[in-house]
Amino acid sequence: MLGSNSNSTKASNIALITALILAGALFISDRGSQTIFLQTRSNVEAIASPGIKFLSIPISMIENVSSAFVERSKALSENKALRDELYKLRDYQKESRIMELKLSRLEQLLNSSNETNKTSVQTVARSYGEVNSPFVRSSLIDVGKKSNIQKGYAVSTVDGLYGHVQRVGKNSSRVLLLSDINSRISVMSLRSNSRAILAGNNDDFPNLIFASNYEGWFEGDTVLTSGDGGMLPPGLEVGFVIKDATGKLVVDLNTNSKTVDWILVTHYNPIETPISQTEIQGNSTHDLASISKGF
Amino acid sequence: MPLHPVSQPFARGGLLVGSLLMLILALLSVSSFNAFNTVINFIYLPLIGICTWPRTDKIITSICIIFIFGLLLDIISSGPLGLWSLIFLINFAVFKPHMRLKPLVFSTAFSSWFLLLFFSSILIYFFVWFSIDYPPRVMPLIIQSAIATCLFPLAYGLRHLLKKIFIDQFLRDLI
Repeated sequence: MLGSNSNSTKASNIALITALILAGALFISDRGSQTIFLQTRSNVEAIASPGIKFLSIPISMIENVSSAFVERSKALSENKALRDELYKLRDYQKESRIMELKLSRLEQLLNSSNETNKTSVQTVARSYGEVNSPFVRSSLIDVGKKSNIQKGYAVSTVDGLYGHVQRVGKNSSRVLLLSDINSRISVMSLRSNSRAILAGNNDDFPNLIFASNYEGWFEGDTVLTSGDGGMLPPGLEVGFVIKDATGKLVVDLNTNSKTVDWILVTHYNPIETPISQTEIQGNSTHDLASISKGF
Repeated sequence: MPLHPVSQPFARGGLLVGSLLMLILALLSVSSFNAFNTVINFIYLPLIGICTWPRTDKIITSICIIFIFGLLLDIISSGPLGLWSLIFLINFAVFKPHMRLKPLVFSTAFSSWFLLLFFSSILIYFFVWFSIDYPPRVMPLIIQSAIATCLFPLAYGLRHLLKKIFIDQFLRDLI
């Protein structure tokens, strides 16, 4: 197969076939799930990340040049738009101050607190290895276990939610992007409070599936994380609803077509399931039994 | 492609050059380039390493190195394990880059690159289909092919540079 009929060629043919079988077996067993050798994957990523980071330096230099060029060309029109927005925002600021006051008084009356304040701890990191291949959409970030990053933490940019932490290494973590085929997050419409699942499809526009109320979703609706299931903090902006070519409702992510460089990792511990009454009783009997044994 | 063994002498350090080139291309392939509101990846780039693999009689070592680089690429690109190993090894077995009779020149390398790219794209299409249960979109594959083809001269230049650094000047043409 690879050369003459000599013994060395026979050996190389056997080596090739063995390697092919091994690769094929790995491919079939890892198909769709990517769950084998998780620890090894994290370790290899941790080792390779400085290399990727180093090789990204010239790429990011070219990126900076191109983004500076684009920004300069847009500067005049953006300046005008920003001035208009500023006038509008001054009115909103006045309104929001009044609302804030009202809200704090209502919270005092109801003795409750704003839930979004619980997620104030954030870690700033750099994303440097975004993979947008036909079969996977993920990114590497330069923080890991050393920065107390845990699996499931929300990762966002200034524009909105970017993904969530899938694997954590020592100094790096793998982020599963919202558009990846394996990504599923619970979302809500800001306008109607309707719930749905945002399901990635390896495309730029993820689908809205299992919508609680399809009439509650319209084109142009702002999509936020709902916090249902307690895995991600509620209220993080995701994008807005658009219709695709077939008329199906999909989400145009806020992070689409944006240069993702610096990101924020939100430290959010999932809400724990409450302990059932029987479990508590079981524990207390066990405790009593151990005390009586001691006597 | 010849089926008989290569009788010419081999340059020492050829495998080192091939491996280093593969390593650099694999790490570069997962770096993303954001420009003009588009994210560009170079996921096909390591295939250039297979296309320009050095002439060598250490076939088993070559197979092992290629297998390991395939796994490395699968891990750092967060793809299904074994996918790139399979693609690299199949290309290695079909195109036999280690058995070139003549020293690699740019025009020959570029023309064999087109063949390898076409064959790899077909493999990737079907393997991805098998992996994610539905056919992938063809346009991103074409874009990736075009990007890798545009970067081929740079990768070839990098190989040339590595050759100059690691291989004796009288033996450079042997890989």
